Order: sequence, then C-alpha cells, then structure tokens
Amino acid sequence: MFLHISIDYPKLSVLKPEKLQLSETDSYFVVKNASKSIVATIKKRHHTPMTYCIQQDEQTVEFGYHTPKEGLGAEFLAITIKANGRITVKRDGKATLPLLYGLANGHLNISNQYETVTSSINRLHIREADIANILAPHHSLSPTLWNEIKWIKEYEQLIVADGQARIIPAQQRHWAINADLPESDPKEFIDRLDNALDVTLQTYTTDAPYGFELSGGLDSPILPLFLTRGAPHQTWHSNSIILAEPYRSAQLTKLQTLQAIAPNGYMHFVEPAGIRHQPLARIFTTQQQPQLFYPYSDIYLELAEDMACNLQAAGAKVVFNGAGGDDLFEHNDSLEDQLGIGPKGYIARSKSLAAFATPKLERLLGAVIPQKQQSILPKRSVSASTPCIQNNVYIERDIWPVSPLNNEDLFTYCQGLPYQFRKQKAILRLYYEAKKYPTQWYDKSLPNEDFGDYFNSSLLSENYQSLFSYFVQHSYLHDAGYIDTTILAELYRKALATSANQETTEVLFTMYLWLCTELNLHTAYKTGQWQGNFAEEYTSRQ
Amino acid sequence: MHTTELSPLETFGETEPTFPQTVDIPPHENVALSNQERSVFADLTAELSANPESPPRGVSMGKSTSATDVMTIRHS
Repeated sequence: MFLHISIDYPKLSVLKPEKLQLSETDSYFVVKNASKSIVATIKKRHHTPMTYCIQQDEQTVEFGYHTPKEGLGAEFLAITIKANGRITVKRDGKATLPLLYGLANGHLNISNQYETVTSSINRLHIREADIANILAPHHSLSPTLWNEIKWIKEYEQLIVADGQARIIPAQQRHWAINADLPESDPKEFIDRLDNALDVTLQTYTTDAPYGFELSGGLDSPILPLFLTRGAPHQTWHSNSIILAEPYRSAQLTKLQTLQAIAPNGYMHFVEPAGIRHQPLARIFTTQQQPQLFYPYSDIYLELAEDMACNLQAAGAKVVFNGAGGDDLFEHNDSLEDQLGIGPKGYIARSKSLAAFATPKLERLLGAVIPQKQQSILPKRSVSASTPCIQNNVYIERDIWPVSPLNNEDLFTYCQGLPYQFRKQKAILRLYYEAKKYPTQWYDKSLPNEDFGDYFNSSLLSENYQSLFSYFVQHSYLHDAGYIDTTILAELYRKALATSANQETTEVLFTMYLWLCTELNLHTAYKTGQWQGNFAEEYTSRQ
Repeated sequence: MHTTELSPLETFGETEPTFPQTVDIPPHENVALSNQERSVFADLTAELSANPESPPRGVSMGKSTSATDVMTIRHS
C-alpha cells in the first residue's frame, strides 16, 4: 500500500500527547506513537515525484511527495501529523494519487486504497442521494456509495482534529468553460504543446526509466512521436491494448510506424469472448470473497494490471499516457451544463437515468440535483471526472502515471480556441501534419479505437448473463423500490437478442453501474458492515 | 455527519504546503522547433480560421476511448 494513516482519537491522550516516532524500513517511512493510536506509513519512492518524511520535533511529523519544482503543474501531497492527532492533508490540482478518508466512531483512516478505508469501518450507511448519483451519474460527482467515506479531491484540504473532519474546498476554479475565456490564437498551439511535452520530459525522465500506454488514438502517441525526432530510444517500453476488428488493423497500422524506433512495444490483444480482460473478470475468475470496490473505477482494471506488470518487469518508474486530451478540446458553453446543476442538469441527468428506474428514484434524482453551484469544483470535465483510482495499479508498483496533456495552462488555452479548431481535435491533427508525423496517426478515415464494442460484448457474455440472472433475483435496489428488475431483465433480454447499437450501449452501461452497486451491497451485507437498509436521514446532505 | 464544507474564506492553519526542499529543474533540452514547422502550421491554421463554424449549443464533444482513462460516465 502506498499510503495509510490510522488515528484512533478516543485512545489519544489529550492532556499529555505521546511523542511521535519516525522510523524507516527498506520500503516505508513509518510514523507512530507508543500506544499505536497514531500509525502512518508511506512508501519510499526515489524517483519523481519523490516521497519524504521529516520529523520536525517530538510533536510534529511532515510527509508526502512532490515534484522537483513548485508552481503551476507541480505535483504534491503534503501531510502534517501532530502528536495530539491533528492532521492536515493538502494536495495539488492533478491528484494523481487516489485518496480517500473514512471516519467513524472517532477512528480515522486515510489511504489510496478504497478497500483499506472501507474495511476499517464496522458499520457503513448509504445515502439515498448517492443511489441516484450512481444510477444517473454526472461527472462532477464522485459518490463512494458509503456515507462514512469521502474523497480528498483536487486542490482540497482535509483537516481532522479531535475526531472531527473538515474539507476545505478549492479556493478558485481552475478549469474554466469556453464561454468564460478570451479567444486564443491558434498559431501558438505548436509552441505551447511542444513546451508542455518538453517540461513533462524534463520533470519526469531525468532520473527514471519510463514507458508508455499507447493506444491508437490521437492523444497517447503525442509524446512518443515527439521523441522520434531525436535518437532511437532502445529503453522505451510501450504497452498497447489491441481491440478486435474493426479497430485492430488500424491500431496495428499506426503502432507499426513506431516499432522501428521503439522496438520494446508490448501488445495486449483482447478478444470479445476472452474472459481474462473483461470488466469485473476478477469476480468471475477468483474464488476469493469479493471485496468492496469503487463502483465507477474498475471497468478496465484487469487490462491496466497487465500493462502495469509489464512495465514493472521492464523497470519503468514513470508511465506516460494521454489522459486529459479529451478535456482540452471539450465544448461546454454553460456552467449548468458542465456541473449538471439546475434545470439543464436535471434534464440531462434524467435522460441518463436507467430505463429500469422507478418513479421513486426519478423523484429522488430531482431532489438531489442542486439548483446552483454548491462549491467551487476544480475538476476537469471529462477524464478527471472520477478520482483516478485505477492509478493505484501503477503507483503500487512504483510507477507514476503522468500525462503531458493534464496541464492547466494548456487546457485554458485550448478551451479559448475557436470551435472549428476543437471540433474532432482539428488543431491536433494540424499539429501532426506540420510535424510530418506518419499520416496514419491523424488520418480520419482510420477508425480510432473504441472500447464501447468490447464493453458491450463483455456484458452480453455468458459470465455476465449468470451475474445478471442472480442479481435480478436478489436485488436490494429492487426490494427498496429504486429499480424494477422485471423491466431490467426484459431490457437485458432485448440487448442479447439484438446487435449492439447506441441504445443498447446506454442501457448496458447503466446496467453495469447497477450491477457494481449490487455487488458492493451484497458484499457489505455479508461482511456485516451494512445492515441492508437505506437510511433516509443521510439524504439531506449534498 | 462528520464532514463540513467550509466557505473558501475560512482558513485553518497554514495554507501553503511545506516541502523539505525544492530544486529548480534544469533548462529544457528542447527538441528544436524548426521554422519550417512553424510556417507550415501557421498556414494550416490560417486555412481553418478562414472557415469559422458555430458551435452547437449545450453540447459536450468529449468522448473517452482510452483503456486507461477511467471515464466511465461517457465510456460509450
């Protein structure tokens, strides 16, 4: 585990706090007091961003991680623990490390691992509001399902003292919408992007071997193509997920253009019928007791784990990807639309509400959608819409995920570009053309890889049919009146009988969210952490 | 309820993160951007600028297709 902090406030001596002691193992910094009512561990990382742990005095220890230079775009996590149990957690705008906290009965747990935090709490409660937020999701939300567990998100601060937690939200909005920004000059794009790539390389590659996640899209190859202009890099390691046709040929055609320069590419071929990489494959293939998991995060966890293992074996300490590329060219002309609030937000989200939702759930959704902005949301609109818990598969292997496109300056500039430059990432295609990169990478006639088909075929596979069949018969959400499993079963039968289309995809995705929710509810009930009821008293907080 | 969201004006303790030390990263080893690239790019953007297009109202264009991008909400 990369980070874990446990503080048992009822056991802390208020009048005479015990001294904090810092020790080290080969892999960890460890902070604790004699009674172990405070225990904190953070993994040592010797590459950017490096971790640190410093004992200021007997009463104070500071630890976290940071990139070498402060300022915009820097990554940091800064935690201060006092002997009296007061803890402050501050974080950057990238929030690469997933971070959750759970507080119940005076016992605080903070970790990058969802399972660690959930397992630390004996009694979990569900907010009714989050049932609506999960089944009719919006990217500005990140419900954890459980009332006791919260995310610490971009630019937020968590302060816990005397067993009471406070979140201080972001102080300013960092990711503006198109309508709020002055128009940008398209000619500057080439210099701005090159500079972003250069700074990324200088920050993360000077002290560490690195690798790439390389798909067939426009975003992930930006950095590898940029590097092709220099000497061949025998030390590169790239990992690519290769889908079935009609995407496979196009992906291979593109990747072959890099093979001569970066020969250490590894391709993970996925087949629609193959179980190993399917979403939730671990549920089908292991005999272990299922664990609670974050319902939004785990669609391609199995694929990511394969790539992370490969890169770890190659010795990589950094992995570059194209996350954030979609955000750069997003088009949002109103805050209501971006945040999913007010009447526009209700219309959009009620459309995405599962077709098997009951009137009770529809009313609940209407009640939970805020009419105006509740607090400053620093989140980007697309790829950072859920906390990147999947980053853990790399971070736990001492590999730091980095995207040169996850860049606030570049985002602001791109969002100010005239519409025709953002549409279909037109300006990025012009950039590729001006650079004389292989035309395959920006040729619109070649299909970009799309995981939708793979997702659909997985959900209609035999394994999923068994899961659906079981949970249709044993559904907590049906019994509580939020969904109608008769309609759900009929929709699933219809999806099985027809070939995948847009309508099927939307239905299957909401079914997947329902399935993940049921899996978590059943697991928590089995462990005794959840009593099987949906407490309305948890509805009021938004 | 154990969590309270505070107004941005409310402050607790120090507001700046503390680091053990910070260092300047070395000057960029910039892969030189040729004037020819700049010139080609300027021509290409000028061509597109000459064909302005009005954006659709209230439409988000983003679509995530990356295996490692866990944007599940717009997954499809």
